[in-house]
Amino acid sequence: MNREINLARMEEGQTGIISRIIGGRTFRLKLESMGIRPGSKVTKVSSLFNRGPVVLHVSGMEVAIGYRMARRILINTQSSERSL
Amino acid sequence: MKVLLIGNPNVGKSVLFTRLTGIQVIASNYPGTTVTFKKGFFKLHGEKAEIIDVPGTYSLTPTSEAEEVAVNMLDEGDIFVCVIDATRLERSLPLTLQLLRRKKPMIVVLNIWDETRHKGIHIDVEKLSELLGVPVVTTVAITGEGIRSLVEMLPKAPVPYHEALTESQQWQEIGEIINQVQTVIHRHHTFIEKLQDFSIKPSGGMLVALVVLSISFFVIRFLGEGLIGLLFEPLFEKGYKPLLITFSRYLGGEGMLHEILIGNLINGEIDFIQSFGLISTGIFVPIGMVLPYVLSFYFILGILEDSGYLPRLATLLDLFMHQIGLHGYAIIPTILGIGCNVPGILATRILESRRERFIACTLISIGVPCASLHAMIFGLVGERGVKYVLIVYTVLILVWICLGLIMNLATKGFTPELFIEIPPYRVPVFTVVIKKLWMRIKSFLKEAVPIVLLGVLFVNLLYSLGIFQFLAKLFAPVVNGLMGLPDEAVIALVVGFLRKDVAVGMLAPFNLTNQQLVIACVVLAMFFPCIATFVVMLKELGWKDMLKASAIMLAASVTVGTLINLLWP
Repeated sequence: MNREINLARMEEGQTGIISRIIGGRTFRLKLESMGIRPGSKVTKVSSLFNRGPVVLHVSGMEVAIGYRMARRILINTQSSERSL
Repeated sequence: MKVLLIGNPNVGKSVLFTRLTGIQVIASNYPGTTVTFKKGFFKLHGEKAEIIDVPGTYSLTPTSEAEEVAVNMLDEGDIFVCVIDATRLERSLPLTLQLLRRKKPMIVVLNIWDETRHKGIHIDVEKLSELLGVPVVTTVAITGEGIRSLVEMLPKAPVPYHEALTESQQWQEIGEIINQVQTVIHRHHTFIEKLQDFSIKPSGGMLVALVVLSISFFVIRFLGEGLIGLLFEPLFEKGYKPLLITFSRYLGGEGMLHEILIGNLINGEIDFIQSFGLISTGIFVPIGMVLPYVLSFYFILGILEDSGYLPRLATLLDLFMHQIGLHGYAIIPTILGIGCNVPGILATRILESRRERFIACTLISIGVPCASLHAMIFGLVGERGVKYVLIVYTVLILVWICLGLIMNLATKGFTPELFIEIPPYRVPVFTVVIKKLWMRIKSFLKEAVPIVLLGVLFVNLLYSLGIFQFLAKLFAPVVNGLMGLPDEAVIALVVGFLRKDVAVGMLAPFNLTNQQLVIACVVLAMFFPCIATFVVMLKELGWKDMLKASAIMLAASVTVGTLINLLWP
């Protein structure tokens, strides 16, 4: 079953496909320059404390991203795709 | 002929630059080590060619100041060398495809080639070259592998022809290229990868940070003290001092020249700290006291930088750093500032907003003592007991935090959020670490020693002209009345503008109480940056913000000095 949640709320180790990015063109371009765009496969590595940055794996690299930005990235997760 | 080295941050452009030109530049394993471009020359078929190390950028639509520098330089180049981290091919392709459409002769370099094998990545180089329409060279810049074929290939670089792409076409093309040239063999996670994940999780990260920072601290102290005890002290006491004594006798033990070169004899003997002559104290302070700590600090810093740990520390501290108006990445300039404030201030260019840069620069110059200052504090305050060294550092850390909290509330604007690439861990290469250490030591000797000598000369001059005595009287109400220091301490504060190590050294003959010594060290650390730091800060911030920063420094140091004086048990 498909479920759309934001990156900040994903669980550690969960994998999904980016479905939407909420924000203006500048914001989208900024994310895109690091390979974060709709269609990219991402795996969440960790959340640092409550409202701290989120670390994720995307297109072969590790990226740390602020909490508020992470909330604007929506992910399609499939319950079957969960891996730890 | 201008050759541009262009690529994502942290793909090894600076190492490649050093390989091609022989010019040593600082390179590390984190994005943003190069904040301005570096130029150099190398021989290309007997002709002199210019080569430029461009700051790393992720795309040609810049999002930060450092990236803008990179993009603006493209038109100047005659040949593009697009440097790619071979272990992260997919990551580099957007920029590569954009560069291919600039209609300039181009070569693609797959750097860090040796690591693809360990990572189970296989790249079909010929196919990649065919798809991109330009030659592809594989290199290991750190060992020099492949550099020769790169140089041979340069004059033959073709101008690629590709039709313009829309954004979605670009991503589609990247997907196709990856499908055709790259195969990744699935394998189990290595120990390093497990450690990578562990050290970026909250609990594991805290544990790793604690271990890394305490080991670093103890090794720096151990090496620094070891160097002093085993090498520098015997060298000065047994080797240099007898020479000075002979020279002092030859000069007759007094007189103008003796005063300037050797200084005052303390109980008939030369005292390396108190005599205050050019070739006694002027040589001993930078070489005998400060250099051992500069050596040990930069050795450890080099290892930390090349391991790739620092961006992880930055991510871990991000939430806390936001409280003081910065984001996590500001910890990197701050750590550089512990060695010397100058590179620390320059490194604040990796921060995006002006507000952040102002806060970071001010905090570094006030609350982060440089290696020279550390060495002097360990040396002079350490003699009175570890307790007092701890007080000095606790106060400075509290000042750094409190000022940050205040500036966060008082400075206009907002702090952008953290958004950084975290490099993989790499085992630092010993020879590379030593080379970097040597570069930093050279620049310390070249830049610090002359100013120390100038400082000592300046002190002797102003003493004999009576200017210090005048200043001491003038500032007595603040220095004596508020902070409880002897009037002459104002002299040390003035000299602190030239060099902080000389200034702390000047405190030695005043016979200060423990309380006074602690206050004097804290105030000296906070009071005003040394001249070298002042000059770069002025350049980076401009007059207006520099004035603001200076006002904050003065107010903060007098307040804190007074507070310690009042609260001392």
